[in-house]
Amino acid sequence: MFDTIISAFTLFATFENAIALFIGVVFGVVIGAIPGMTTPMGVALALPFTFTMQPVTGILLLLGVYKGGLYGGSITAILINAPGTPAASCTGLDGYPLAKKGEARRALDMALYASCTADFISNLSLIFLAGLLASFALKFGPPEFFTLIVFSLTIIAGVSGDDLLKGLGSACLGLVLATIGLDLVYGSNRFIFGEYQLMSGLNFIPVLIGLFALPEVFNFFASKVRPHEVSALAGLSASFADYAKNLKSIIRGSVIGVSLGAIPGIGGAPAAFLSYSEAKRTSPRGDNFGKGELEGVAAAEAGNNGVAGATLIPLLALGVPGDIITAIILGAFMIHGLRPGPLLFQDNINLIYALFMGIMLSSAYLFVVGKLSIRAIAKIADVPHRILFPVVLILCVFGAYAINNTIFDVLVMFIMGIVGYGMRLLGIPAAPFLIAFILGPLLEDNFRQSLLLGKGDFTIFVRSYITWFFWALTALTVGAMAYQRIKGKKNVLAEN
Amino acid sequence: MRAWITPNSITGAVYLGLGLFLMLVLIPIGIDEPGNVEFAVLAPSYWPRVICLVLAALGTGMLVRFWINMRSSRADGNAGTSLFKGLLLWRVAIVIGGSFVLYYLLEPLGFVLAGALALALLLLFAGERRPVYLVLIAMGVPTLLYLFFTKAASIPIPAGVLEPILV
Repeated sequence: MFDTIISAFTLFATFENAIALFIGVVFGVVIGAIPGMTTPMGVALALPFTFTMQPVTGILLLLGVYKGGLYGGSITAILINAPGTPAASCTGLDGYPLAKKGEARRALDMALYASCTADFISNLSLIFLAGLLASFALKFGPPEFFTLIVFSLTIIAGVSGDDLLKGLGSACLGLVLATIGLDLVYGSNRFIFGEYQLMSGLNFIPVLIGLFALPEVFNFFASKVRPHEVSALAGLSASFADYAKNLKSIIRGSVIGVSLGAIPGIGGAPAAFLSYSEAKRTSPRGDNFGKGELEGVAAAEAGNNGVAGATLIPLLALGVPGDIITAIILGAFMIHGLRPGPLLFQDNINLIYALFMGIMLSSAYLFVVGKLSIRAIAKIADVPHRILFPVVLILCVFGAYAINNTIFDVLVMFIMGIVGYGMRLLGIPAAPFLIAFILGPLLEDNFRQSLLLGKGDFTIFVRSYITWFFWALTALTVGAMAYQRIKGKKNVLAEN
Repeated sequence: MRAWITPNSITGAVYLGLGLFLMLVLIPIGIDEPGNVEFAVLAPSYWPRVICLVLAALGTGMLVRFWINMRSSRADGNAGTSLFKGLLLWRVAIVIGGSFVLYYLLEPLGFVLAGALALALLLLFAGERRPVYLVLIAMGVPTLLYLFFTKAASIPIPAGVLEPILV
């Protein structure tokens, strides 16, 4: 064992590995921070550069991009409400209101601290729990996934604001929009109307940008009063007290991220939303969530980044990629003649340990790069709004196009911008729409696959202890939320 | 503004109208139903129908709640408030209209030229009057974005009429 660790350390402790990992993290943060550039795109762009590298060096470069990208997505979500990734849109729910209050730097700091902590916990889980969690994840079939997504959707009640009916309606609109495209079971067209670009459904990035960033631009032009032309960064950083106050939510979010990340196919968005929902439900400042609550930023980022190390669990232990990024990393392993899975642990354990060492170092790099990037990128918050918002609109146009190299996505973004602005005027919350739009396809696919398995019998949704567990959690959460709402209304009536 | 035109009543009407329109018009013409559906719940239209039914029910619920509140003369939260108070919607209409003009110009003119023209007009409309800033930002931002996406990220962006210079 000791010999293996020494051998792994020799394999890891090279200048090339340290530099490759650092460059990867920097590249990832930059890519994640640009609307329209996604983390999978960044990992895919970096892949060709790894062909000539040593296996450990190449894979560490990709892992650096992955981890940097997860954090980078939160930067523009906080500063201009244009999330770089779906998971980062959850960070923007409180991050952007904080930025509008002139506390952008505090929000960015908290996002970074939560990201690094969650990343570290996720890495530890990867090292110590790989085998255990991988065997649990294997027990998930479509009914278990369905109940998990239903549980994740309970957050809609939490982000609906004062009017639950409006929030639920907003979620229905998101679910309807998510049905556009080819039906996966029968391959028939749904709401395509001869437009072939709709066959694969609406891409979530133009929808995200349209729904969140463009209404801000429109609102800037519509406002008679512009209270602060310059949104001062105010130089305030998040203090250690802020971090300590939110540590509980960060750790809970990390555990949620690790648990969901270990399940192939879930990804960071449900983890971020679930972590946010739990933090809102349990926090004494729950009512302030969505209005600029630092704990909301911490919880969302912890859930999002907690996924990072955990998605490598099924990849390394079973050779099963959990998402697009780990699929690309699997490709990198194979290019170097390695096949992740139980045999890799048997034949190349020193390589696995070397990767673990690199992954731990990446958390430290993320902290350093994040801190430096906050100083540089947060200058955006100091740009006068009369310059910032026109530039944001043009950035959105380039970003929406770059996703698929199609002008159609720019049109989708503009239309969603109008929808988002209309929703804003009517006081319809956009967050439930977005959550339902992201989770909708997962929900429907698993619903129909389950019924296909069960030959139309609905009892398949209570077939295992995992499904019962998630139904019970859903019932408990809905019950707790209903109780809080009733209690809140009673308090208001009593005060009147 | 009439007391019954409030954000809540309009939202209720929109939910109800959209739910019914989708269920009765768009789903029948927009979803191809295969002939060999084994179970009704697996039909491609099943899931959208359920969602639309819920949407229509939510809209009805909102309208009923609004009507009850009106009848009992209780404030509906937003009752009586103007939808567009303090907003210059004509400015938004211009920006949205301009956005669609930009969309149609992106391919023929190219992202850099169309983006530069749009950005210059938007900056002027937003109140920026310093000529140096106007020119530098309007030309610099689209050019930098173009160079980043095409050269650094290898994502082809249409250059339009500037293709001989940029490519």
